[in-house]
Amino acid sequence: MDATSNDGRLTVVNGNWGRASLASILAVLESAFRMLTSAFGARPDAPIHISRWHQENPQVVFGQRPYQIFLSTGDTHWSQYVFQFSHELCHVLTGFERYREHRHKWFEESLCELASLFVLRRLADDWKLQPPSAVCQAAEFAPNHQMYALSREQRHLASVRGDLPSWFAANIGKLEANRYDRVRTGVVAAALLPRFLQEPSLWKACRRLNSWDPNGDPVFGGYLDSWCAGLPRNGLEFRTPETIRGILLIP
Amino acid sequence: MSRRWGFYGREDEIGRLLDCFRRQRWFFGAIRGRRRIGKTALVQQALATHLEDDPRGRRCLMVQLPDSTPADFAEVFRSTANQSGLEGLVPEMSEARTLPAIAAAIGSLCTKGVIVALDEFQTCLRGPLRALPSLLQSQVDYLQDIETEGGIIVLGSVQAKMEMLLQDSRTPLFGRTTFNLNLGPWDLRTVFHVCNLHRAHDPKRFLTLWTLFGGVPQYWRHFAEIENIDPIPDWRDWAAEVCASLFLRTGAPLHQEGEMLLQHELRRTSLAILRVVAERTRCSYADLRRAVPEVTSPGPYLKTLIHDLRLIRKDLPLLAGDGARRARYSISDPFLRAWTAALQHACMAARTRPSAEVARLLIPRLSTLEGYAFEELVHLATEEVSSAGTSEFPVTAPVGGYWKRPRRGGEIEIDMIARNEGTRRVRFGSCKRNPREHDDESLASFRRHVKRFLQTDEGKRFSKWDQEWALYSPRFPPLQRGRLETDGWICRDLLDFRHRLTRSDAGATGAFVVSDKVAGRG
Repeated sequence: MDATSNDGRLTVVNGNWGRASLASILAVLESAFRMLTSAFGARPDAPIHISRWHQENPQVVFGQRPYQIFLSTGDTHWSQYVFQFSHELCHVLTGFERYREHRHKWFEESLCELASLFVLRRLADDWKLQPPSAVCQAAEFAPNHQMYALSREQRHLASVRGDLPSWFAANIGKLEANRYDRVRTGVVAAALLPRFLQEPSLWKACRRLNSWDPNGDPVFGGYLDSWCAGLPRNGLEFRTPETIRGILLIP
Repeated sequence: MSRRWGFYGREDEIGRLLDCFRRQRWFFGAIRGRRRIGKTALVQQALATHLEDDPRGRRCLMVQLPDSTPADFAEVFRSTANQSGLEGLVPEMSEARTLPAIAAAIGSLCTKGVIVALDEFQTCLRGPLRALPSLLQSQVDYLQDIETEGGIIVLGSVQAKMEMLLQDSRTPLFGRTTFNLNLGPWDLRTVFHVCNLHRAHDPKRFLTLWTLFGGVPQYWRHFAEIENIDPIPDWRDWAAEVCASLFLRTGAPLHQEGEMLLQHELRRTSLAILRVVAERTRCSYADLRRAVPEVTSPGPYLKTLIHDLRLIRKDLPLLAGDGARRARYSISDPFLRAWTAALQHACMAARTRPSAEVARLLIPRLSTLEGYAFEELVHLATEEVSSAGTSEFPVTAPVGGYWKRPRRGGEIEIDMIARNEGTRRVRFGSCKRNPREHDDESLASFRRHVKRFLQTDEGKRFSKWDQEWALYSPRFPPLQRGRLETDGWICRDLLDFRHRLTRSDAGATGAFVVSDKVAGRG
């Protein structure tokens, strides 16, 4: 017996999830799903199946429909469910399968880290007002989302000395060499978070992230240019690359 | 009682049960664990959580097998089914007056999706209910051949008997179980959590309770239910009141618990051996032979107590081979150790003397036991923190002590040795229940013992490793800690372990619906 959302978009696959019921896990993941998809203004093109595994890192599998997401959390660690699931969902929403290997892939990882922090911060408020009924004492738990996000943000930003563009200029080589550098992608995410919390519509442009071949962009500035070029000029979406440029790059 | 009792720990075990329930396939499971370890609560909690996923609910019948006749069992079976609202579910229920009819009713209930849990299943190894396993076998074999959502869980508290019933190839139910759960004591993380919730966060009090209960949930629950114990400021008065309330007063919840535990299995000679081990806390084979001269060969009894009943533990010095002749025997269950070494006599004395007076006389013995319990606690905590991934000293091998008494003198006794083969680090530890005992003389002695160890065959490999010298106590006064650390000692106390075990990168734990039965509401 798995637990599937009413619209069939999310299914929590049975397994050893600890003391939590599948219904409560589904409710937590659904609230994260609603928060991020509403910010993106888009939904995944296929249902998502979420399974528990006992490896260290969560993962979304390439080339499978329904999408298969594996989470490495369990029991009633609701913030960690939100954190891991939002990260993997962001990969899905940004079309992670289209260009798998390129030097700017760290940016997608940073955005996914940002998605996790963004959803946690938003749910901290949302659960106070509209706690999911299937989650026991969700309203009382809500502040823990904020604390979980804050502790990660603070840990990431503690490693930055001086202003952010200088830090970025000194560290972009390491990011390009290792896209899974969680400390550095975390710094980028924490730096972008205030703007995305202020203007959630910035997420809309992220749908187009993997819609061109980034291998043609030798530097990150060029990557942002290509991203901009693919965005409709008549909307507001082109603000996103420019905002990111303004935060990360030295003018 | 400061707060309502809940369901603590057991994340993996309950997850396994829920995984099984949700599969909606036939199952035949076994849950083993000592008396009071929480087998029934585990099943009840899993069923309560499962209700959230399947609002139709899995109906469950939990029957405790009585140690009496089939007719009595039939009475218990029908009455429990009646109370669970299952009496009319299958026609066989009204006919359940003999063992074959009970087995048939169990089978029919399972075909209706009911989970039947048979508690104290070890009862049917011998005696009037011994035909039950064979009768169940035919039901189990039938049920696994048809598509049914029901299941049978057998629960038992005597490990050896359960193993004989389910794992001996000559028995009817051999090879039938679809899952097996061995329920051990709570892990330390859970015990620390429970202590924080139920007013025992002071390390000294934690150690006392650990010495008395180990990780057995029901005993902690009894402690949590003692009224008006918080305001007692002095540890001695507090410990005396805990002992009096739980063990010594007439009607105290654990007044007869030790006897019940021992009566389950032990014969006279085994009991005599157990007592010798308890009185000495740790003893060698030679000690045993001297103490029980009427038993010419304690070996077979020891084997039963160690391997079959798991009441006694055989420890060897760390790094000594299995064949080493320096084994020490000790009681493996903290409650049983405290009972046989101190509480049993006190309970008897309390029949003729005021319980408060007996409790006060018990304290010195309890303090001695705490010393041994603390050493074990440090071993356990070092391993558990390492496996939680929050350790400053991750270990790659079991943590233990070392001892050697050469004939020509130069005794070696080291409380704790932890090692990491990968980084070539070794940590030597000295454990003292009272931090003041880490004095100059004790530190010099500790150094001498380690130096001798490094010259032994087992120890010389560590002479070129990074060596760390650690001192352990339940709680170090800040001044003393500062002084010792300035001198290069590593000081660790129970607060350090608690911090490392309860710190979680997984974030806060959300609440969950606790079963009414577990919480004592139904």
